[in-house]
Amino acid sequence: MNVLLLSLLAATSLSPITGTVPEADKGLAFKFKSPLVNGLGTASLAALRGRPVLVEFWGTY
Amino acid sequence: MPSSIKRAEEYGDDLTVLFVEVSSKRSMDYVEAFAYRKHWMGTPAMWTKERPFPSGRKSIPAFVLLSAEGEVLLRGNPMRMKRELDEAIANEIEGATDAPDELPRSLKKAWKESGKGKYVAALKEAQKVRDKAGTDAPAATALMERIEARIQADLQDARWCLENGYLVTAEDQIDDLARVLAKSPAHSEALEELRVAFEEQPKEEFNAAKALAKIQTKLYKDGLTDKLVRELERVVKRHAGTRSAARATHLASLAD
Repeated sequence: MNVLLLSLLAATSLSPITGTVPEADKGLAFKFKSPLVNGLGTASLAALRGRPVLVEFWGTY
Repeated sequence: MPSSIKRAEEYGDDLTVLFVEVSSKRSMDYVEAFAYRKHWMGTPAMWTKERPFPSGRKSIPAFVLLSAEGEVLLRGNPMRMKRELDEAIANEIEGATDAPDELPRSLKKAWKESGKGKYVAALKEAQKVRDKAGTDAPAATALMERIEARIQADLQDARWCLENGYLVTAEDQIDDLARVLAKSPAHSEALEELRVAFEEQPKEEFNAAKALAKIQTKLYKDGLTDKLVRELERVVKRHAGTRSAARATHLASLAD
């Protein structure tokens, strides 16, 4: 991977596209303690494998 | 507004969207009521306050995009990376039918069929490869297990909806499964069990589910208005004791 590409990645705050990383791995094993609103029984992220998943962190404040 | 509300609407079932609210002082009921007031409900997106993993950023909004296999594809600020995020999502959805490079050529057709939701055709194609007992047999077995896991997950979704009174949704799911698995003797028993479980639901539960589904559609559009809260309270009264009445009670309480 060349220096220019690395610089671009740093500038745009992209995480390098990698294989599974530890925190996402743990995330896929993550079991929700409470039912998800509109989750229709989804109990963990692992149950969502088979489709891409977009997790967006946001706040009401 | 969470920037991916529109993505949840646009991509429907092709993309799972999970909103994680990170304002620690707010209850989940507050968040749900907030989303209804803003007219953000009504998409397939799911909502929680539990962080499945760190966002990788110190501020919000933040996103993490996972591939269908659970690998991190992209992360960042969804407002600043709109184009990259949309491209990554489109590529991942399109790639559902494009087999990975490492998949044996003999299984590419099975992969493609699976990506289109044609599970039975995909299993048949993979079975042919496995039956040849050549070097591709282990990969064929792995692919068949992956497809079977998807089928079982869909069957389980329908069972959950039945057990929890989401009968309008369950009916649609069972119809879809019946179509997808029509030519699969291996799944006929599971399908029949679902159908029987559906037909054995008390009439009162059906009536309640239909009544609530009508109000739910209006809730998505108008939010928790006084008029709709009164309609929810009527469902609670008329269909007391049903699972839909319990859901209507919860929804009405969000307006408090």
